[in-house]
Amino acid sequence: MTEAFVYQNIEIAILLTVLVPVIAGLLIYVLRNNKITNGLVFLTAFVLIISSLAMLFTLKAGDVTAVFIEGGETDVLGPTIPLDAIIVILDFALMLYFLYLAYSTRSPWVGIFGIIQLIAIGYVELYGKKEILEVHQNLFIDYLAVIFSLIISIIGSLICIYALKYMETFKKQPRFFAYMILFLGAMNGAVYANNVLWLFFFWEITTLCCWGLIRHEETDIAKKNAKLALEITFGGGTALAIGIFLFYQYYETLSLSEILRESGAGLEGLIFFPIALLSLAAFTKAAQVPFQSWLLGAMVAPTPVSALLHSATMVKLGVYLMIRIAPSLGNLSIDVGAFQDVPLLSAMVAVVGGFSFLTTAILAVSQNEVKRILAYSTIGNLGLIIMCVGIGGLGNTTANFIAITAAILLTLYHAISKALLFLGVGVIDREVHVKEIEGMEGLVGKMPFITYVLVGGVLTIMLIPFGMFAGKWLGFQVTLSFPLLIFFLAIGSAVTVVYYTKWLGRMLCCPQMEKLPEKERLSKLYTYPLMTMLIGAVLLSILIVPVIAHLINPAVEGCCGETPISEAEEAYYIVLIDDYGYFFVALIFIVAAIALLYPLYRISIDKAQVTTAYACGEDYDIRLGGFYFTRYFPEQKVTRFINPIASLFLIILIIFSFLHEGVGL
Amino acid sequence: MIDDSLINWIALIILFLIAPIIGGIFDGLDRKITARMQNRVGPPITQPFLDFFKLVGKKELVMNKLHIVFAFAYLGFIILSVALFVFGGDLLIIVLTFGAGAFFLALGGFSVKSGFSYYGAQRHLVQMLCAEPILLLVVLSIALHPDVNTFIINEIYDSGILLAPILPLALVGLFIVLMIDMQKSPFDIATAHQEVIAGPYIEYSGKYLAITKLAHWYEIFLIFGLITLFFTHEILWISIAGKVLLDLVLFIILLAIDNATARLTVGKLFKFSYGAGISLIALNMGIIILIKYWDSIANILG
Repeated sequence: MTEAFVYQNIEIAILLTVLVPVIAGLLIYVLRNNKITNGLVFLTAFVLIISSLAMLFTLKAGDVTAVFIEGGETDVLGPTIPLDAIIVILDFALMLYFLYLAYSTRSPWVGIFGIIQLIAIGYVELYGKKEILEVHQNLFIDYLAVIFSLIISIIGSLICIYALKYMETFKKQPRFFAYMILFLGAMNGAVYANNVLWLFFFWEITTLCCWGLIRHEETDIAKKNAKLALEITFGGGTALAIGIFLFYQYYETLSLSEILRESGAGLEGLIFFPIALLSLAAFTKAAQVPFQSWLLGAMVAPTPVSALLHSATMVKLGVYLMIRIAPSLGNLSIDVGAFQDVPLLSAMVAVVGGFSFLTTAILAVSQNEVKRILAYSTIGNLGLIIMCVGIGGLGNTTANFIAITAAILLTLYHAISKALLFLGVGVIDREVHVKEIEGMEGLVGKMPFITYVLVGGVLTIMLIPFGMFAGKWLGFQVTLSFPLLIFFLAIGSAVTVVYYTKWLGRMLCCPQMEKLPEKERLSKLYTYPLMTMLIGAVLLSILIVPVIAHLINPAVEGCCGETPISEAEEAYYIVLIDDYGYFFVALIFIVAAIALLYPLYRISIDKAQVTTAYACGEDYDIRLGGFYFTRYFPEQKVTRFINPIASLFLIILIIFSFLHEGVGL
Repeated sequence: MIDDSLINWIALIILFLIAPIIGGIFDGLDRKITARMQNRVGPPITQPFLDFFKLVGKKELVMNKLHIVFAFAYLGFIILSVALFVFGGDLLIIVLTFGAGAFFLALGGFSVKSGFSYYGAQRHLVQMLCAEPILLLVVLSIALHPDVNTFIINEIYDSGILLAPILPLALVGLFIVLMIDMQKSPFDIATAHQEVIAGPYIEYSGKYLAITKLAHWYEIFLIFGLITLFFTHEILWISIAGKVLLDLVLFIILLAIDNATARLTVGKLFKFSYGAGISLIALNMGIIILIKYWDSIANILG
């Protein structure tokens, strides 16, 4: 395959993954017809899945690991589309719209942030571009971008298809689906953007869609939580805007790849502060402590929103940015006493992530509403990913590259499993109107299909030998580089097991039955996405070694130059080996399968053996309940305790980057 | 120390096959010595095996199928954990597989509508919450040592480091985990007989109860096995003698504490594990880090 052919294919694929959702979203909004909406959603899903897969295969077939696309003006689809000009115009329109929102939602914060953004971005667009900053490479595609695009396109599409059934009885569906589909396009644009102004534009579109979707039902609490989410994520966007302004001032470029490549060498001035600002923006998007309140509040939105924004996609944008800037994180290093070159910025990032992981795990134990449990769990897992990114920036040894590999691995597997859990929980909400886990007692007898899907989902997210577990295993290995984090990870993992098991226990607690109950009747629009995701999660976990070898390693190589788990290919795809340990994936899967499936299908129980509880002869009627430890770890108190600590970490991070100016090296 | 010769492999396979028997013997010794401490005769040492065969022959009463599935899963994962340990695998995987087994036992306890079972399973979860992090921290503190720097058991032996003098506090932590997992006073909250009868085990009967007992023997073997990691010597028979001695000494201390103490409440167990348990290991880790960075520190101090 020639280079030009590869280049052209990829350009078409990108345009499809970004423009098709945008246009489809607009059409859905304008035409307001349910049948057309359904059709457009399916069409968009189809195009997105095919395009993102095509992108992957083109990279593979063309044997390239990264491609730059000029993109400012493009004519692969026939007519010349001046993308850059369109984005500039839309960007200003968007910022003005946000100012309008500041007025209509009565939010002074949004107003202040909006004005700062307008000044910063306006200056760069109008003056900076006139100088030397014609960005010649607006789009950048490497395996990292492709992985994220696959997550967004495939999982996002499945969620939208599920939403077609879920939202049947809701009002204002066209607006809802317009936002959802537009969202997918914006996410794709954001992960492909190399021009930081484009990245900013797509970032803020996701902020807008997030606000619109949380607000959808227009109840008082929905409006209030949407406003909170807007304030926090828009604040993050402002940090991004200021960062871009500083990039222009000190790095004199708007190309992200150039910024990361230069890493501040040979520059003077506040060269580390923008990187810290970008981290801050990523933290707000990923709802890390102390910004977690918006994600919790967003749980009032319809479940597909929770699945899309807050598990599979939008929060992943924050993580994407962190992984992208990971190579630069380690460049801010200072001398502490006799210790040379302590990478303080990266270390603080790791601490913020690890702290979020631990504290949200503790908070999840006290929750009764299942979506809040899943929300805390998501924040925790994102914290884990960010912790790995922070460790990755600490140096240039194998352990650091393993950390980056772990971060990408966790992102991929978390997206699938978490989306699965949210969708399953949504079905329970629609069918039996239960939002709390106390109400889910004995669900295995009434809705066995959903219960097993959820049990499967929790197992994939927690249990050995699935993908998330592999990521945590790698995470444990790399904490040896930064021992404080060992405590965060070990305790956090143990607490995670507690609240998931408690939830499963509530669902599986059931009356006597000698065989498994019959599957309940559910719409295909529910069952097909759920089964696809469950089977996908299991298959991808079984195939974890090829996934690492062919998908994740090229991404790690792109940003670190080395692939620490390259022995994977030699071990016939059944064992994961690195410098610290080995993980015999195939063996454990076989044993797990036998241990679970053999008794499930091969042991039969006589009707005569079935009985009620022995309970040492106690005979009264009992009521069982979960345990929430609200006396020891009540949500309010814990939150009030951890938010200041996390804020302190952020302040340290910002101050150090601010004070440490670059010197001509 | 562990090489690839055929005799070595056969020895390891035999060790794996008799692992439950060793676990059962510890269980029997436990009952015998406890009885003697309490001035009774006590059952014969082989009593656990007699119980096992009696149970296998009995007819089961079953509440639901999932309950049984989880018992098998518990056994399966614990056996896997022991297999990985015997054949010198990755300590992290071993410990986490072990935790997976305990997880399935908890699920089994939850899956029946029986008060004691359910409540026992909840307490079992709290117990896991207390024991798991300590176990993980012990493993991580072993790997933290700059000369070890790996989780694979074979390679830990290859590094030739004697762990007991370097990580005495980690050994104490492991001992605490042993007490918790063997359900010995003062940490036996999940099977506190006066409170939850048999906890998550209560609704199992017949051969399914036998399965849980078998799994428990494997658990005992594994933790005593982890303790043996702390002593090693070049000469094989000294190594084996030392390991067995270490196990027996700790075993006797375990029984002494068991008979001398009253049970902790759930809250106090939690505070103890996270207070004393984690602090001890943190202290040990701190010492190791000091060793790691001794040169830099010596430079500062001149």
